[in-house]
Amino acid sequence: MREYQNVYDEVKKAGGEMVAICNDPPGDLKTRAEKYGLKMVLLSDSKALVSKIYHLEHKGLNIRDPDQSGARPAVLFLNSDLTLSSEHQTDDMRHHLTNDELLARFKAAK
Amino acid sequence: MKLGLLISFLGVCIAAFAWVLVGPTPEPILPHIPVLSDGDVPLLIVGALGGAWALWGGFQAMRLGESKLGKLLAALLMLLGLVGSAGLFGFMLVGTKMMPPPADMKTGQAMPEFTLPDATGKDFAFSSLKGKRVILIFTRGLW
Repeated sequence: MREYQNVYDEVKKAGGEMVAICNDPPGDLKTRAEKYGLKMVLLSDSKALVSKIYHLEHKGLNIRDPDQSGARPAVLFLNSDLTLSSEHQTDDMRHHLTNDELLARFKAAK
Repeated sequence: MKLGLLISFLGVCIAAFAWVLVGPTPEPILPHIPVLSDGDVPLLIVGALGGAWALWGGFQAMRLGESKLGKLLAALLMLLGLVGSAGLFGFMLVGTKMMPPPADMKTGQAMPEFTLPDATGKDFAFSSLKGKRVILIFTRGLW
């Protein structure tokens, strides 16, 4: 996620917005934003409510707390009317879109 | 015996280095290293190499050593190398791919409305993004 920060200014310049949804509490997000200079909007979905309604919930992420849910890593590209332009859902949690791929998909949104 | 222990220790360090590169932490510890940070195979090779060194060095130390403490240390290093290396393979080949099936999403579908607290604790409404193209990232620890 930190690497996406490198194209944040370009996205903003093109009239877009970058929003990250995490299951960490707001305090942790603030710490992370300050530590790494993240400018994107960071939202806390600690109960995975949004992950659920987007059908991206991943149950049992934490072995010590099987009830804890998080999100299946995904990047959604939305048109300006907030409809879906394209999506990237990885089957390997370590696989990220490159910044070039991210920008290309963003620019393809209307 | 000392040489065997040293080789075994180096093997454990190599396996640990591979773990650090895999980055099982919320944020990467090391900066991006070309080749090693880019693919699974180079990392698996490094991890396997570390495990093999730890086992071989430990085995030699146990074979040549006379003190109980040295043998115990060698056994511990062998165990660490084995667990580190096998764990790396398990994590990279299985653990990272334990995902629920992808959500069924259709191009053009309206995305559900939501309101969530931002990093400062203030409510942020999804609808406030209307009029902008949006990159919406669902993320967690490793990702």
